[in-house]
Amino acid sequence: MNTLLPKNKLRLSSFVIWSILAFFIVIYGLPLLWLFIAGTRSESSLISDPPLALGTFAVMKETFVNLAGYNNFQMLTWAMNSVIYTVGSVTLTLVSCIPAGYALAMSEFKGRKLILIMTLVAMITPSQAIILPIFLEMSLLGLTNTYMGLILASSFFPFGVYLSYIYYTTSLPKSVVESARIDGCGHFQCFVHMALPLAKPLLALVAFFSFVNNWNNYFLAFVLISDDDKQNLPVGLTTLINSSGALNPQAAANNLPIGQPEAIQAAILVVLPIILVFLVSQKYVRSGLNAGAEKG
Amino acid sequence: MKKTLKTMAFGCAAAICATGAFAQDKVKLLVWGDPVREPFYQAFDEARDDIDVEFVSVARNEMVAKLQLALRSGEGVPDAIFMQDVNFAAQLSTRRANYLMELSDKVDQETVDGFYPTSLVPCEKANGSLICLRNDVAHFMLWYNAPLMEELGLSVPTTWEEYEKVGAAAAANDSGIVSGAVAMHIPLMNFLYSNGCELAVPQANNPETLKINATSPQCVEAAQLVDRMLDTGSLARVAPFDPEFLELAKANKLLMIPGPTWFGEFIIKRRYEFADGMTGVAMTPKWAAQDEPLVWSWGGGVWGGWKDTKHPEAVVDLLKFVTTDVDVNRTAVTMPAYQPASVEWGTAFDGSGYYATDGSFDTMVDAAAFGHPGYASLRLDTRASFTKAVVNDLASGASFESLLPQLQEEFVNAAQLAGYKVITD
Amino acid sequence: MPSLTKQERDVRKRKAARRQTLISYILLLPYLALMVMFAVFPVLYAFGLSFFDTFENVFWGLTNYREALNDYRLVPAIWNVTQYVLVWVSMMVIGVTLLALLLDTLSERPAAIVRSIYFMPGAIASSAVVVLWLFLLDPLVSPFSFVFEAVGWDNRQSTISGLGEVWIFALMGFLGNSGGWIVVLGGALSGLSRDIIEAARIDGANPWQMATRIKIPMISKTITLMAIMTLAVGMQIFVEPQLMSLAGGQFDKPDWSVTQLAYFYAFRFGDFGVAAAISTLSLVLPLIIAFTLIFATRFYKID
Repeated sequence: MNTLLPKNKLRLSSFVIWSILAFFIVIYGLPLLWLFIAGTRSESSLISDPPLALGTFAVMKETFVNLAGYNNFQMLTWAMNSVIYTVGSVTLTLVSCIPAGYALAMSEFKGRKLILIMTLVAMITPSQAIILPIFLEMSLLGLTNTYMGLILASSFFPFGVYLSYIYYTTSLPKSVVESARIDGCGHFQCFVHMALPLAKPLLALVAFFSFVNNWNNYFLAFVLISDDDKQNLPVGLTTLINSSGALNPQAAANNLPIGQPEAIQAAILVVLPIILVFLVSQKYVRSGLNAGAEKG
Repeated sequence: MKKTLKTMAFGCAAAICATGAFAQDKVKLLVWGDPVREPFYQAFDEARDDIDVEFVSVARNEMVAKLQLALRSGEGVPDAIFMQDVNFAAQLSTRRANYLMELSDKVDQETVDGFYPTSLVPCEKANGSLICLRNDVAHFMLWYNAPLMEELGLSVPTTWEEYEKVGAAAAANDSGIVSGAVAMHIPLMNFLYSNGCELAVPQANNPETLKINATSPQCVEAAQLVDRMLDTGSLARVAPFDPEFLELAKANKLLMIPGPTWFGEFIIKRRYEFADGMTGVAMTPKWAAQDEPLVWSWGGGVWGGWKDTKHPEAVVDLLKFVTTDVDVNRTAVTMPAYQPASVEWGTAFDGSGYYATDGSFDTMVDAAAFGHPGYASLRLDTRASFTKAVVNDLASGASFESLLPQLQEEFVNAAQLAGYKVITD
Repeated sequence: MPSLTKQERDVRKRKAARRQTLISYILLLPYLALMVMFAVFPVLYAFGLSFFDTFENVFWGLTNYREALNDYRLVPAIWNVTQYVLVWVSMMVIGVTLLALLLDTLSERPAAIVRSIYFMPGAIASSAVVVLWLFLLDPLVSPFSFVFEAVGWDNRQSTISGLGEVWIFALMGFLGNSGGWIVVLGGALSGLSRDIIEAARIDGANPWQMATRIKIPMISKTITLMAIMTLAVGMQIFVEPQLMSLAGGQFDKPDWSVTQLAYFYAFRFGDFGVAAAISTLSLVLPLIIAFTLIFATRFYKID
């Protein structure tokens, strides 16, 4: 690549580059690696063996049995709930964001500027600041403690609209749409026949960010859902740890077989689906981002 | 097929006629608690045919917030709750969070008198009325490693001053033997309160007034003792549950440790892994100048009901059942606060053969008599305030005494924020 | 259509425009409905509530604000959040830019693999990230224990007070969020015109000059976006300090951040009025930033 540089200089600079990158590989990689290995180890092994010592399958199984025994495998209920919330919200997010981004990018109409401004404002104002009024509103509507309530509340995703807006302004030139329209393609038809098929990378991108947000949703779920059988995994994880005192023996005046290994496996359960999604979707996310960033 | 169904339906109808009441009359109670308390609720459900108990598990840190949410939305408000922190009682009987039912006229005096002395203090409101029932007593004891004590030729201290000496003797010559772990809120508070140091203590005549004086001679004396013991290495600058401390304890380097009644079963046996016959139980030490010990507590849950429940009688029955029923409390994980119910629990405690001392349970009963009358329920989070003002700095090497002024400031602020009037002397 | 008069054409145009507006709004409808429900209404509602005693629904002017501003925990909380945001945003801007530029010098294959590794920790968020970190910060179990021991931190307490919450939360945020942005910046970098870069190389620019003079200016807009998003999220930090108590009361930080204070008023005291006042106040800064971006810079083009 760097043919113009003298050879030894090249070696030195790539050595420096690789050492920095390798240092960060350790920083980024070690915690996850540790987490997955720790899921196979017993409490005493965690403390006395070296950090990355492998456990045994038997211990892992026993830990899992303990975890499954917690409130008749409530982890499973939470996992199912997480799936419901996430699928619901991601779908609604896509349905609301993609057409909105398209409309904002492709046409001039009254109120467009205002909507764009509000989108940016909403993007910069994370929902934590307004979770309390959202809770009060949902309780007025009788939607607290319902699947619908949480799905609706987490479907509002201005960042998704921003992404689609940028995507369409950069990847679908207005002139193309104009000429298609002259050929008799209505505004709505244009969206369905031209913009949607074009939007695969965009769909992947918005779905990905929305998935990550929703799967990890903690504060909103905590506030809106009080019934523990309707909780999602992130809140369930804290319920499990709090009620068992797995990380806090002070609260552990109980006989639950939930200790550090169980907490670790529970955390793995929360994290694993996202990691899989990350692995599978990385390619699409990159291509989506590239498509959007090229001219942006 | 059809015929059978008909007969069954008929039989059912006859049954209704016969008993007068049936399924649709069953009282439904929604209850909250931690998983440990589920069997208590279940036992009540089984004991009463006319009552159906639906249990929801709620974590300690989330209890108050969740109740506020439920009260606010008016949905899913539980009829009864188990509160893992005695302070919840005060936090749930304010103007804005008015949840708890008054029990004064609903629980007979005989039952009230059956609770250990001072154990119901957290359940008393400013006007003296009762708003909850105590689940377990959790006063401090002195737990010790009996074989190690003997091996070192030391005897179990009865005063804090002796405790210091014994601790220093054991830690001498870099033996690495410790006598407690103090980088944690309540173990530190224990030293202060046991010496009569007043940190957010409600005034007898006016519980809305808290006395806070963290720099009084009693507080300073206690803090200095802690500092000296930290210097000699007889107290560890970690929390009693830190893995590092667990290692010490397992390595036979823990001589003794002040800890509440539940320490034996849950910390010493499980975490410190002391073998059978190794753990001694002694009365918590007193200060030399005191006539009798003043015993602080660590934990002890309370039960309460919802003041707007549709079934007040059923709720009161439930509260009484879970606290006083002998069978349920026999296998309770912590020492029951209702004396008659605690006796069989105590028999099992002593009978386990785990403890080195004879009559360990009786010692715990004796200690209960010296319970600190200031162990009340407060609207402020004393643990959080204490941690913020003291624990982090202490853990990183500061002396306890030097932190008392900032402890004073934090407590005064927190108490005033919670709406208390504060006096300092 | 030559037979149409100018007037007729205007009418048609206007009709078409109206039709277009209508269809645009149909496409926007789901989004706008959600925006009204979960942004406009809550903000207005909070604003309204902040002037009432929410218990007896009595208007009491600025009392809630006075109470919030007099809270002795407010200034320390603002200070905590300010430090945290400064540290975290700097970490992100420096770290992410550096790593993205370094990755850009590699060939595609190894770059993709390294990028994936950096990306992975982003999977751990909210409560799981706190749980994981409570282990990572405990020298007895942590894979980083050799570092802590070298510094002399031998238990979780000393690690936490040694690092300080500001750095801990900033590191949590960095580990979880930087990978995604490295991918984003990587995308922006690979989108740069190869002609310009080739030209610069022929002119004899070394990698350092290439990075600082050519690449960084060209992706500065994306870096700004990252800084702003990080800042916005950072100001509302809640989950991390709130969940520290999972490890026990001695790690509890219930009043560390401003959002926690609002939460505390609402759910500990049941005082939604003061909570709403704090929420309203904490909206001021994001609003200022947003409007500055829109009206005083060319960052967000809306035309």
